[in-house]
Amino acid sequence: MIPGNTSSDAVRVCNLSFEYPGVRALDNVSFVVPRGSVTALVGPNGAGKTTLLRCMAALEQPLEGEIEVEGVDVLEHPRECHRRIGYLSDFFGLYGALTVRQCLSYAARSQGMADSGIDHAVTNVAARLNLMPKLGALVDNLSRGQRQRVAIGQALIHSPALLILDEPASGLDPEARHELAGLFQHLRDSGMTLIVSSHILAELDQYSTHMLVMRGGRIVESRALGESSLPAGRIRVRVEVNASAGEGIGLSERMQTAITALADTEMQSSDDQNGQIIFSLPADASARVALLRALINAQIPVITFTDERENLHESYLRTMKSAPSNQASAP
Amino acid sequence: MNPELRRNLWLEITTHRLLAMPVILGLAFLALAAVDRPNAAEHVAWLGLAGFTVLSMFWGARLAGQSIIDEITDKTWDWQRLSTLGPWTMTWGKLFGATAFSWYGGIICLVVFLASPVAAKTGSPIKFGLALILMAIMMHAAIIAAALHVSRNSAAAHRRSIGVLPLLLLFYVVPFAMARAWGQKDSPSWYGLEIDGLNFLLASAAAFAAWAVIGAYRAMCQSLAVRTAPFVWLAFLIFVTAYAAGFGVASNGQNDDAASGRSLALAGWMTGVMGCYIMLFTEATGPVAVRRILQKIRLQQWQRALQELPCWPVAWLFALVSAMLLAASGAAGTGSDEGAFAPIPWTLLVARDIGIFLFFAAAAKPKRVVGTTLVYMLLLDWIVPGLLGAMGFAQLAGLVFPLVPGDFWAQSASALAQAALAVWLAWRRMQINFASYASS
Repeated sequence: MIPGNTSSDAVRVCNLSFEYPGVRALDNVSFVVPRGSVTALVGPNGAGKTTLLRCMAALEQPLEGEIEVEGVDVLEHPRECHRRIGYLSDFFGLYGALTVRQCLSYAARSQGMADSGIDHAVTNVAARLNLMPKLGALVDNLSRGQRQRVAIGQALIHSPALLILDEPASGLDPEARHELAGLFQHLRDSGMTLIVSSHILAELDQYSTHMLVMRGGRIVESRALGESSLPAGRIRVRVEVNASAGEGIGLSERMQTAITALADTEMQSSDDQNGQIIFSLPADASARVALLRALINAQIPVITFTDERENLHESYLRTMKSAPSNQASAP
Repeated sequence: MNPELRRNLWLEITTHRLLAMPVILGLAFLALAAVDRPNAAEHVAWLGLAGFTVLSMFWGARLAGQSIIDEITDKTWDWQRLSTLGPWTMTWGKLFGATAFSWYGGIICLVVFLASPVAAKTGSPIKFGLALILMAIMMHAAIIAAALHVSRNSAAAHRRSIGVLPLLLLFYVVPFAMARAWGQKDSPSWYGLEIDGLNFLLASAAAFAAWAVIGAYRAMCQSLAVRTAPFVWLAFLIFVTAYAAGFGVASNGQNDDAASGRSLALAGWMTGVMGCYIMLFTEATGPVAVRRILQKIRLQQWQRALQELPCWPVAWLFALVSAMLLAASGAAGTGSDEGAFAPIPWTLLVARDIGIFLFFAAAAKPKRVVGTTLVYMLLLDWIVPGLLGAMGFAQLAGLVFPLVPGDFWAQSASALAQAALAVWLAWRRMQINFASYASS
């Protein structure tokens, strides 16, 4: 299906195919990325993620298909598209003989920024990435993490509307990864659209709003995170009860009895031994209030009562289990 | 300032280098002058000319090539391709930025030479100096074009091999310049016109420098995903043909239209064949490129199909048209003359070689495509006809390889059959190896 183009879409990809000699790396890929979202691009090695990102950045020419970034046809106007995007490659290089300031300054100038705004842009990005003390240092003398931050700074310097990052956290220590997650959240909150390819799903989960799953050069799922597999307007709630001292015995039956009077509320799963029950109910707050009241009235020893949100890792694994696996693999 | 030029100047021009270059050159000139005081001026002048040749031409060409190769090996090329700098800005930024330091030293040496009495032997030191500068620019631009061209082919060894280009160009350029500096006043005949040697050198250097810069610009366009149709390549083939044919007319000693036509057709055919092989073996081509063109044709996107077209088909068509003109003009042998040229079957054999190349390129996992193609060319063009000839089957040898004297029509038919078979095999292999995509 060809996604429709709306003004709220930052990226629109239609029927994109790409071939390497002997391999179809992308096979009729179509999806949209909403403006202001952070899309986690996930999939096994060889799924075609990097090829897709490089096509979107106009670094590779696909066999067929269309790509629009912020309304610009990437294949027709690649240089115009580069004004609107920042891209960090998985295997990037830096000019080792230049200082951090020179690298950032060159990146800004090569993106067409006016001379008058260069110093401010360099300082701004360096401050965001904790690179201020290193502005005068040669890139060759930086650590792996610092080089990664310089590279992200180069991709960010011209304040692109869309930032594409291929494994941005690889090589970073835990503290730097945490800072990076904070930066991405900040960029998302400032209205930037991000597409992040990474194998570290726990980190993607911190800031991603959407998920794009690839396998064998195809998109197998594209949806907003938090959008569960439930029908629209419904949510899941996880209830944990005190299952010690025999309280868990017959829990399922007691729960079922307690919610008999609640229309549209269903018990989806129950783990009596560990005291874990998941309910499906309407998304409005009154349904949750009614459920909690019914459980208390039935003297169920509730410890916690929380919205059940499927995390990225669980969602990815569920998608990969359900998706057909007989697809060609990209390099 | 051009950001690419500025970045290169940051790297190339430092205070230390600015001071060190004139000091080192000055000491070298002084040392040479001290060795032989009576002929000091002449020795210093020759050292100046040699210094320009080594610094600006040779070292500059190396730096120009490295400005592309290093970007690729250091993985910074993607940053450059992601910038909004246009192909022309990027081209001249690298052309004069990466070579800035070599120009700095080279110009000092050139000024020393031109200021000497030796330079007066050239007839016009200014024209001579300008010609040298243009030749250096030609070399720099040519190597940038070559580096960009082969960079689209993934073979790293391929990319390193362009380092030999400045050496080859030097063999062409240096003796030419040195002979002139020694006062040899040759007057080449071009289309029957006697032209002053220095003026001809200057005009040729300017024309080829311009073409090299255009070539670098076009290669940069392709690297930066700016679409171009191969019209520039066609124009270059026509220019080289016209340039080379001018000497042929003079050597024939005939200035009639028929002789000029034959010279043009012969030069065009040779240019087309050479251009076709060079581009076939160096361009990013193969079944993926063929499928892209067919895809655009299927979608009736004619302009896009033209933009996807590699340069080698253009060169082959140019060679074919030239071969037909040559045959029509009567210069081509029809098999009746011993050792006569047979450009039409020869051009068809080039199509056979293209088919062989595409056949190996269409393998599921293509490896060493150029090397394997060359081996088969050697086998079909030399070993098989040689064996047949040695065994007394001269006519059969002539069918396999049309340069062996024989019947023109039989050889043409044989070459056509060979070409058709090779192209069909390549096409069939492409269809088999890509069939899974269509059905998936």
